[in-house]
Amino acid sequence: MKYSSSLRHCAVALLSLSLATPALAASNSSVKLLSNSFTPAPVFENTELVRNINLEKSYPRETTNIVIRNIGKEAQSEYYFLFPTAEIHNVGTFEARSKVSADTAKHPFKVELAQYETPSANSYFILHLNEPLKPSEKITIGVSYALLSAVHPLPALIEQVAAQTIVYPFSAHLPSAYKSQKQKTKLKLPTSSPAEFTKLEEKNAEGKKDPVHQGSSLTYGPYNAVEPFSTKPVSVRYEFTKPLLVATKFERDIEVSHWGGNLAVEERYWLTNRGAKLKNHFSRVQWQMSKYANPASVSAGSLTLPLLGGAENPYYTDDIGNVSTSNFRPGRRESLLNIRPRYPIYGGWNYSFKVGWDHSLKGFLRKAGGEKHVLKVPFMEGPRTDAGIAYEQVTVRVVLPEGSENIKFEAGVPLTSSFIQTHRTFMDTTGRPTLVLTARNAIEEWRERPHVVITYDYPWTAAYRKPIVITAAVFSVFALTWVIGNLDVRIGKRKQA
Amino acid sequence: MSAASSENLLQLWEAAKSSPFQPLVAKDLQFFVAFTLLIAAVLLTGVFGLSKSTPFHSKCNANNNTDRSILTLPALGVPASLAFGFGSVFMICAVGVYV
Repeated sequence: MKYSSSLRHCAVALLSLSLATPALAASNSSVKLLSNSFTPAPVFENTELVRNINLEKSYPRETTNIVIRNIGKEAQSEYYFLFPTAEIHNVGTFEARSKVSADTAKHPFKVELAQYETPSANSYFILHLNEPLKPSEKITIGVSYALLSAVHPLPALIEQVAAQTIVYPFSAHLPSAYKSQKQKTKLKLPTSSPAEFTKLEEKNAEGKKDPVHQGSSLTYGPYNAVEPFSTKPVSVRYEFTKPLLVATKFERDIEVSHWGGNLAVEERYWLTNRGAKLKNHFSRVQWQMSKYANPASVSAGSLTLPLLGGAENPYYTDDIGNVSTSNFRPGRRESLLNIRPRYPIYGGWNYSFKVGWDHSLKGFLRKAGGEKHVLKVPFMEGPRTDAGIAYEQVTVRVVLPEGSENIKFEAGVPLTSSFIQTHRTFMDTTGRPTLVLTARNAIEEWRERPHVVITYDYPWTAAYRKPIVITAAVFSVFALTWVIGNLDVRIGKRKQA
Repeated sequence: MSAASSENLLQLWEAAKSSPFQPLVAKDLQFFVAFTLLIAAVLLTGVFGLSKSTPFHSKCNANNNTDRSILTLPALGVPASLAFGFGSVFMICAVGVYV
């Protein structure tokens, strides 16, 4: 009994760790364990459900609008959004909010991840509605998220200059814990002629063939009276001759210098291309020939980082050293840093590098009275690409001046952890407090997300610590010189004046 | 140690719009100020060193005028130390290591 209890605690702890990985809505995420016999009570009904899947980037982005109705006898405030457990670790930026235009609706719902104690095919995101929904009342909710690593190339091997097609498997019925009176799934493809897609034998609720293909959109449904937990596996294969770039690790350092009036930024990337691998050996001749024609390619040959205006002193290095194939166009509103890796990043190839630049601190730091300072910096900048880059592990470190205290922050992105550590570098005595923010499953759109705002107190005693330490050291040399210079070390008696 | 997350910091940022941070010395002037301070520190150190005639030299000194006043420390040592302290901080910033 004792052992089984211990094992149970271990299992729960491990499960909690594994659950901590999906990126939920900012700072209000938590994990809940469900007993194996649990099933959400049928207190809601999806009156109408429309799911939009955007496949224009290398990671599908799904937005689902659901009109939910309380069919129970009591007011309800918890909606269980079903999600396959196999995909839950690939979810990025899960966010749910009310579509009502009231002020309270502006805030996203608190989201809680729930999973069964023993492995199960289903998990849930519990959406805590801002206000309890009374019996027979309706509300429209919007759920959005991105799915990383959800597509794969088919065929997995292609020629060096060949089109790539990728497959996205999904369910035509959005899995739900509640009955849906009416639902449909609409896909936005990057091409108007998909290579292939699952054609269902049954007609949709309107008596038309299923799916309906129109231009670059593909619509499965509508379906009437879809039972809870119902799934209908389908897939679509479409041309996507672009790199499937993933940063398996991404680190960003932001260093604040009051003395230098400078904000130094350094970003380190560990990129990999999850696109189709080369069927044969890489041909440099073919690559050189195709460079001038510039055809669509599965390789990444160039990346453009749009930086904030006023960026200066950029650098671009990798494990070997400085990479000279870069171009920087400074500007007041936006500065463009164009970098070209040492080699084109084909499917299955990796490339790690770092870029850095400086900004004047004036535009990022304000004094908020007394010793308090407010810093506002972007959480992520990074390359802007057509296909998008997914970031699996993100670590952002904000290095504050030595002696900063009472540090508070507000991040506009979902975080997995935040803590303060000490960073020691040039001319430091006690080290600089460094705010470390980590996130998982970020996507390129985080560039547009609200910035990180940090406040800290910076007493004048801490501000003058560096020059005072050097001054004291030099003065001690002067004093020592004076003392030694005045020592009477002559042999014999002192002469009388 | 965990970091404290707080809300409404964005409002604080907006409220502080009229008081942007101004460094003690602008970036463009850092090298000039640093160089001037370091030159001053070197000169003051030189004066400090030459003004002190120690007993070692007293045999060579015909007048034997030794200046052993402790006043040389605050008069020359302190300004030289301050000039070196601030000058070195600005110089290390001017060459791109923003401390």
